[in-house]
Amino acid sequence: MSHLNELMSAHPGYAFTSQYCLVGDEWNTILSFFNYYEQVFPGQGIVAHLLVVFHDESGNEVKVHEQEVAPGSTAQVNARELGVTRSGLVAVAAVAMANLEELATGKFKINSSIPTSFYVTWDRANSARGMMHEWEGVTQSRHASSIHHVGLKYSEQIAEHGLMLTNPNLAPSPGGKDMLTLRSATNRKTVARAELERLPPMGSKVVRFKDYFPNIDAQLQEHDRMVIDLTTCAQAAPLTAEWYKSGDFHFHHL
Amino acid sequence: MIPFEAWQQHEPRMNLPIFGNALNEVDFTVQDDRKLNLRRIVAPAYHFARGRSPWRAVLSNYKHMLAPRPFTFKACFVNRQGEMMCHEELPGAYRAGDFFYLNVNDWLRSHNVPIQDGSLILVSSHGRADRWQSSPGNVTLRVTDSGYTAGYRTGFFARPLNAGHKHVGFTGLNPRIEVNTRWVSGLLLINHSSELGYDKTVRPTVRLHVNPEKFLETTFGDIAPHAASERSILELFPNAEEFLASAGGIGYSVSMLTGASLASVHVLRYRSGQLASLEHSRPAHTNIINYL
Repeated sequence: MSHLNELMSAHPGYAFTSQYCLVGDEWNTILSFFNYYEQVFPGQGIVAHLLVVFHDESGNEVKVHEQEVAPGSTAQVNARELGVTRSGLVAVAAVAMANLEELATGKFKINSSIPTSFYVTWDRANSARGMMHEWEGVTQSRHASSIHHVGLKYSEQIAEHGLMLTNPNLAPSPGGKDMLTLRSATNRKTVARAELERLPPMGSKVVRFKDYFPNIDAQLQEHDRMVIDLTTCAQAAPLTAEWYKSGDFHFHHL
Repeated sequence: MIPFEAWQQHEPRMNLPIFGNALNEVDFTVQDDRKLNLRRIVAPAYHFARGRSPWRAVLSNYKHMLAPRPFTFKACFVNRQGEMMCHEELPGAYRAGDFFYLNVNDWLRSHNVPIQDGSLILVSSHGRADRWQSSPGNVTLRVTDSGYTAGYRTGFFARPLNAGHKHVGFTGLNPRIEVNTRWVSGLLLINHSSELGYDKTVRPTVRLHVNPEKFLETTFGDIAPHAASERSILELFPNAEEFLASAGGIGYSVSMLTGASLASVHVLRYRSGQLASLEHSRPAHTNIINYL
């Protein structure tokens, strides 16, 4: 049983949330968490036990980190400083060191599974940065089949477009392929199609569209606006990725 | 004051900050409607039975389930003083899989409005009247300056905001404030409202912490109704660099206001002033409290 599975079983009232953690070469990711239990239960002095499980892109656990966060305080979890050397999904839960049900009795109802809000700072050689909040919750069962539409706008300043795919669930992968379809945004005419390997449990992958559609630069310049349809049966909604010629980047949830 | 026709109460909208010295773009890719299930089919009748929706809204919802209406967009620009500079119903109707794009700078130019700091209130509607599942999804804000970009995505919504009834207040938590030779964090707060006639100017308080006991406190300054206001940590706390030095230049902030609700955006700029990244705040209470 994985550490993540053990932690999820040990804390059934809490849900792990996830994010893509970019580490290696010039990249690093810093997780920032504010112990907000004090905001909801003022004066109760609730310490949060922060549980962080780093994975590589194949879904293997590479590091488990735990730390206590004082009431009304924050934690900065620096992946590289913890010895994480490979990119992949990170799963995070902040477990309250208190009986919340008891504290909430007569005041309000608490969620049966409490998720954790946190932020990531993606850093590229201390010269470009991006921020985002946590993304999908980790589940025990596969995501339903779905289609995600991703709009692309031509820009001279963007070097590449792509996706960050994540599969924050613990169920075995169904195998098979997902599909990328590149089409015009105006007349919906399909320009090209490509297949994608499905991700393993807790797996992730950075997809650069140029690797699948070698002519996408010229096609996007010609059409100005295009859409990628991602047809998938086992993964979360992707993050979109833009890499700029300046070295800057922009990753965000769809 | 925002014109009466800028939006209707059921129309999901988003108040996005606009930056005068950069290219501002917003876009939205319409995702597929959620699949029909028993809960979705029963919901309109349930809300009617509970007195939450008029029968016209129920009929409209069922009609929409059978034949979804396309989304249309309206835009309204408000400067940082809260003055409405222009608004327009944008052309086009967008269905699942369609891609809406607006170059805000070009749009302002087309209305003879100089590019300036302000807010774009983008309204996206497909005519649904129910109050529970009205968000069409997430809109993108992309701000580009000299090849460098910042931006975020967040959801349209139609819930009442600063709408006359009493608000407990607002607390904005930014868990990572940086002030060093390379980066300077900032806070951008938006005094949004679902009410077109909202006229309350607010003045939040900000605390800069290195730990729960050690903090500085100051006033953020006035934010006009419907307007956004950005303040860098160095503007708010001129000695922030020295104050945070003992913690490696890293701290955190808590912004507070009573009587009104704000939207909060975390800002990171290069020390030169160029925008590096933006991200909207996440609520804390909804993680823990089951409001439904």
